[in-house]
Amino acid sequence: MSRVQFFTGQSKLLFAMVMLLSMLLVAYSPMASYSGAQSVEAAKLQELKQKAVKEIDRRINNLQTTLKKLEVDVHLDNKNASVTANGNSASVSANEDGVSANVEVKPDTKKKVEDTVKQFIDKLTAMKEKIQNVTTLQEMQSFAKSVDSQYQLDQMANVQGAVTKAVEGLTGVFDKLKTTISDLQSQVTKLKDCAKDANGSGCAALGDVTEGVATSAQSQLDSTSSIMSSIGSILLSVVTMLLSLVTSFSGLLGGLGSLSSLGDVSNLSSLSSMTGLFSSFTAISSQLDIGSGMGGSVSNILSSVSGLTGGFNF
Amino acid sequence: MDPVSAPAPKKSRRLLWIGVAAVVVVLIVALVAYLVIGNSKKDVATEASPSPTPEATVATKDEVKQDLAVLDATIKQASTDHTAAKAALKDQSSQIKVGN
Repeated sequence: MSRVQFFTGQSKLLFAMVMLLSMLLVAYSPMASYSGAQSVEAAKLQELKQKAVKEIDRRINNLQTTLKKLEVDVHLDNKNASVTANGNSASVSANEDGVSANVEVKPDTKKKVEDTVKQFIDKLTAMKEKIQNVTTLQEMQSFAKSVDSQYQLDQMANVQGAVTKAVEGLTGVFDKLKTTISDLQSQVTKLKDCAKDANGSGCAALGDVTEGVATSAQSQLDSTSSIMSSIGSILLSVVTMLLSLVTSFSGLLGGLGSLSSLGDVSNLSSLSSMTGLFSSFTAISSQLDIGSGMGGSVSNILSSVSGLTGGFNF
Repeated sequence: MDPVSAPAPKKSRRLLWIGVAAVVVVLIVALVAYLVIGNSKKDVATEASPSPTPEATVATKDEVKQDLAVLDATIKQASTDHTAAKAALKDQSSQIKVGN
């Protein structure tokens, strides 16, 4: 075989191989890019799923914490704290009939709030299960919209529960303040009686009672009277407002139908009132701040009075 | 038989009935009067001798100590609950936006 013949045969073979490779490339390249796109889509689906589940878990966790707090009831003594101010009877008692009748978060209101929190936990749990079974990116993107758009509703359910518990907490503080005032007042009244008549019943056992101590203790107790009235008024106002907000949110949810089948709610006009509801809950929280501050002041005064009465053998 | 003296028993019977009715009326009036006067006398008696008021109970040192301890715990719990409510109101900052 001559050299020319050899190269001609070799180049033919080479040419055939190149042709074959080209054909293979043409045949397989769409498949390769398809499978590449598919893996990008799968990664995106996985990423969305993980984010959605993480956010849903976060919301469920918040709601469960709130529910646990709500399930603990605050016991109220409902004692009448009768405080004498400047020798006249009592501004606390004067307001108390009106206040004490409304100062608790009514059990049916609390039940409604608890039920709402439970409904939202169920709704989110169902949504999480559906998301975990999603197989296409398109479907997952639709769920992502639902999760994002329902945020305000989920947050409102949690805010309502948490604020209700906070209001109940302040009613508890107010109640315990009244109990303590009432008990301290009984001691101070005894001190006053014994300061006037040291031979009165049970006075000898108390120790040496001076009028100065009795007057000072009474004066400090008197100073709590107007603060207690203010706390009572704040509570009356926030409890009334809370009831109205719970009714409004409940009505709004009623208009949405079944929560478990709720999808993308971003265009629902009925949710426009959510901003107002949110502002009202924020206002309640501000009022609670003021009430708590006042409660702290009364508590300090009562500690001081107990310091005075504590020196006697009650 | 004397025809003129015949209506006499009828008249006396009517008088008898009037007498009986008068006695019944008097008895009813007396009964009502007794009930009214008796009740008012009872009221006066109740007003005149009210039940003795019990001496006001005075809280013991331990009771006040207990009150202050419960008050302190209640204030702390209320403060925790209120902090949770504030956190719920500011939850937006923790939200994970899924669709982005």
